[in-house]
Amino acid sequence: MGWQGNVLRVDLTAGTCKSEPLNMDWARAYIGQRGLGSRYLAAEVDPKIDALDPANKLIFATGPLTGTSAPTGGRSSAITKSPLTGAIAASNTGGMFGAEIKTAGWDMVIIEGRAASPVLLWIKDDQASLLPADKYWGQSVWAVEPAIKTQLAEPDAKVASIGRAGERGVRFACIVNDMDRAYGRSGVGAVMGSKNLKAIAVRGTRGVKVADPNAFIEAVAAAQAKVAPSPVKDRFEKYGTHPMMDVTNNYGALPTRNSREVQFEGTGKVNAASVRKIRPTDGKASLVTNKGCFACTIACGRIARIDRTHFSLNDKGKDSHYRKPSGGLEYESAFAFAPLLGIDDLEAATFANFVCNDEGMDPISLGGSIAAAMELFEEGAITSKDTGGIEIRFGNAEALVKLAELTGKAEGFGVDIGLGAQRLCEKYGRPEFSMTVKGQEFPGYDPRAMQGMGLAYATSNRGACHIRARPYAADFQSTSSEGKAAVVKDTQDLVAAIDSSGVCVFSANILAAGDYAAMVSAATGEDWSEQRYLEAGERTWNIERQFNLAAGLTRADDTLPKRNLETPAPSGAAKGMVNELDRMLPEYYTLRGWDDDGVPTGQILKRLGME
Amino acid sequence: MKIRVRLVALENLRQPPFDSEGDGVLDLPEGASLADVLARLPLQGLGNVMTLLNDTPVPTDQRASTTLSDNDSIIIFPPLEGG
Repeated sequence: MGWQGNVLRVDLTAGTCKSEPLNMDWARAYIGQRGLGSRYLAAEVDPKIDALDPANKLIFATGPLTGTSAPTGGRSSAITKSPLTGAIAASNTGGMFGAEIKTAGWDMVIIEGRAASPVLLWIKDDQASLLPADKYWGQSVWAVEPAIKTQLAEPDAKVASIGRAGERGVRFACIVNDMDRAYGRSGVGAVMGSKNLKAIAVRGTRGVKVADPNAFIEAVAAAQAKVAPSPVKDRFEKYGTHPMMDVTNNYGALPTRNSREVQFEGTGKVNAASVRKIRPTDGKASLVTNKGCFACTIACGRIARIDRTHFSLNDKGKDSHYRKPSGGLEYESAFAFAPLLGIDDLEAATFANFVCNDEGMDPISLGGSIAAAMELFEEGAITSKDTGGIEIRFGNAEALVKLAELTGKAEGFGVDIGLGAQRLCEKYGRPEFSMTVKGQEFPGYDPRAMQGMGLAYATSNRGACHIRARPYAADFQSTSSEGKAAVVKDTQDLVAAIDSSGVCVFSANILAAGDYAAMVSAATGEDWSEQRYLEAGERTWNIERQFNLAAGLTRADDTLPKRNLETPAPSGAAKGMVNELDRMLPEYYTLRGWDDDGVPTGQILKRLGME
Repeated sequence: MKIRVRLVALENLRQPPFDSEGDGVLDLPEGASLADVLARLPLQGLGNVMTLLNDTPVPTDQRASTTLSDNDSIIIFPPLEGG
């Protein structure tokens, strides 16, 4: 209960779809979703293989709360070896797709091998089959998703697919579900493309049973009683995550112009208030409405519409989806397509975000890679001869629009952008311009003002990430590095547990570990104390770490770019400061029970039952 | 003394003396603390708000002992996370 007990294993090479029982020992140790998927990956995939080799596997995993009425209970993860980082990838999505997998009767879908030609995986409850998808290859997400529903005559099916970016090996390609939600980070879409798997369509009608319905209703009601009146919920619902831009800008933690600066003078044109302003051109605001994922009463998602007079739409026909309301800017995409590039054009940023949804790309990594290209261009490491004539300078909104489309289709200089910032900067001889950790581009928080976030980036098992730990409150209290190692370690474990449960980490703004543990207990019929719940998160963190070490990563990969470690912040609360990673990292390793090289010791593995 | 206050990401509190951008000036007696400023604002239910005094963060436990001076600049924002 809570768990369906079933794994769908799809061998694309053999063309088979088989059911097998879920490993319940692992489920009880890792909860589900991110943790359980990581356990399966570690057991079944050689960490040293190339991520785009057919021997890599792509695991779609739900948690025991996915598909239930638990607040935000619609989450699922895609776990694989990343082609961007060479480390483990665990990308988490909302929308409706994960809940549909669970409702169809599956805890996980394991994709292995490579199809001889493009295929569509069609899952209807306990039946699964592979269908030819040659006609969809070369098409974008927004073209394919409705076409698949029409082909299957299943308007209520949920679809996850890749765009041309995933087909053509863009290193930060994502998998888009429900048109504008995504398994976003670390290039999981490129792995799907390497397997010739264009899309997965699911229709589930079996439902999800919980072990103790009365206790579950009680636990969910208690959680909802916290969510409903919360001002956090109110703010997320009205403004989404976008208000963070004003916070980081005022704090001096807003990466600007490839992190050369930490405050952006054009914030007022691209912040949360700007999307509500009525445009003189069409009398409408950018923001149309908000949108919620499965079982979410917060509904932080944004739906936006591009100004029909904006230059980005010049070559879009009157029926183009780009002229209609679609998934809009959140903080990370807004930061990545505006301050990070020195651009104050809200419509261009929204357009680039639409391209990411249409072609299947991670907006954080696309923005970070274009930012690196802009610095390469400004410093003369690349010229317009390299870029096909595009003046890739900070502040150039037209360059953003062109490069977003070129990268999505892997054409022209977009092929180089699609390498990701690290490979791009290495190619052109200036690796120091790559604002990445383990090859993954920075989210919108500068590690000099936010010391804890710097440590979180450096130690994140999937490369730079803002949602693998929760040091926000501590970082906004003080720019000191004091005490941040413990905050990062503890919140990494909590987030890993949440990511393994089937709910959204944003709910942790309101709920605590005990709330999740109570819901998981009632759903599974197991006694999940708060301690056991957090220990499962710690176990997840360590299995990810072990995978990365076996892949060849070392302590040297737990670091930050020189810009954060050696160049003082030019303004803001941390003016004159650098990140003090050398002070925090040893303390962090000690708290983790790892040795000086960042390797889990026998003692910690014994405590976690991982020997 | 005059204290300049900016409310960031606190859209619901943008009423006089604060303008539509969240900027306002408060009159406070000499010797007032940062905690006194917070006490004047309807921040209940928002959790532990964050504060900057002249661009320097002031932790929660230091606000009562942080005495203000004329023309100081304070930035207040809610405990946002994620993004």
